[in-house]
Amino acid sequence: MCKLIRFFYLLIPIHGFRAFLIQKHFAACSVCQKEWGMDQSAKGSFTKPEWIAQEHSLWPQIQEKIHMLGREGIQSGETKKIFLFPRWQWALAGLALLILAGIFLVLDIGLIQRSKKAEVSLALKNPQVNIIHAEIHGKKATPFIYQTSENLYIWFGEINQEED
Amino acid sequence: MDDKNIISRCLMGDGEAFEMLVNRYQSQILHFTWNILGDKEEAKDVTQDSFVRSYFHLQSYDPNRSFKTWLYTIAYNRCMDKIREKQSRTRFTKKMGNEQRLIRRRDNPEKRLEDSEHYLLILKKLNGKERTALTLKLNEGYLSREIAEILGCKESTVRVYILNAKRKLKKFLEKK
Repeated sequence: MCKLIRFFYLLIPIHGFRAFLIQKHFAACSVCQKEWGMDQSAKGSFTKPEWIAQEHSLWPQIQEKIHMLGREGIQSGETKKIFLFPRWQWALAGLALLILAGIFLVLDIGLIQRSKKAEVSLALKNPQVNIIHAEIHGKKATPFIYQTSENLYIWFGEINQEED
Repeated sequence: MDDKNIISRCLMGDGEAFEMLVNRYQSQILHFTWNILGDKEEAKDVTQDSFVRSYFHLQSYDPNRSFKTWLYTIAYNRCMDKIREKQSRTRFTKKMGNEQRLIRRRDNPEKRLEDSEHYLLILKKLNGKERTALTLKLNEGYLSREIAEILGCKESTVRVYILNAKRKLKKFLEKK
């Protein structure tokens, strides 16, 4: 529609006069006539087919479905409601779960590898100590071992004879 | 009897009162769904389904809204479901390489007569939302606000759909 019509609508509040001006304009303006023609042919494209008017009432089929669904639908109504969320919400929830699972997996693998590395380095730094024989002043002594990640402490104590 | 009275009768347990609503809107909903789907049997299926759904959700219907608009909303959503279903089925059949066989089976003379070439060409030119918006505007005389309510979008978006649909149709009709 050309801009003049819009001006008529905007500026002229009196219906009768506005209609008169629009009619006058329409009769002369080829752009508006073409536009109107297009609208009409577009409208014609959406024609109502004859079978719609001839179609029998859909009520019997609808009634049957209502009865059928009414019997089972009322019972399972609650479970059906769960699936009434939009699909994108389910997709989003799934995606969030996947991301979380991924994060946990990455963290978990990282931790396992770190702890393995720590074990290896500890074993290399602090080799196992086996005490075969310990004596203090010709008497059998007991070894005490305390190991940290950095140091290894070994000391010996005398065994109380009375206890033996 | 107006829609609100019929609905309150239905809500009071008078299932038969719903028949009046079916008979009142059947033709309009059929026309609407046919314009979107372009297939008689599918349009009938979706129309039936829309009425059944509206029956089971009558309690959630807001009496301040127009029943017809509410029914159109349900029908529109069902049409979109149907289109999505069809699209995924087509993708699947294409994958399986059965497309040609199915087309041959569907192609009966009665159907060819009904789905006129012209109509199908128009359908292909517009997407679901454009078709719906234009149908409601031209056939039902709905305002952009009401169409927006049915499509669940903004009024400005509806105006864009209608403009695009008109542009596409214009192009198509000018080519012809």
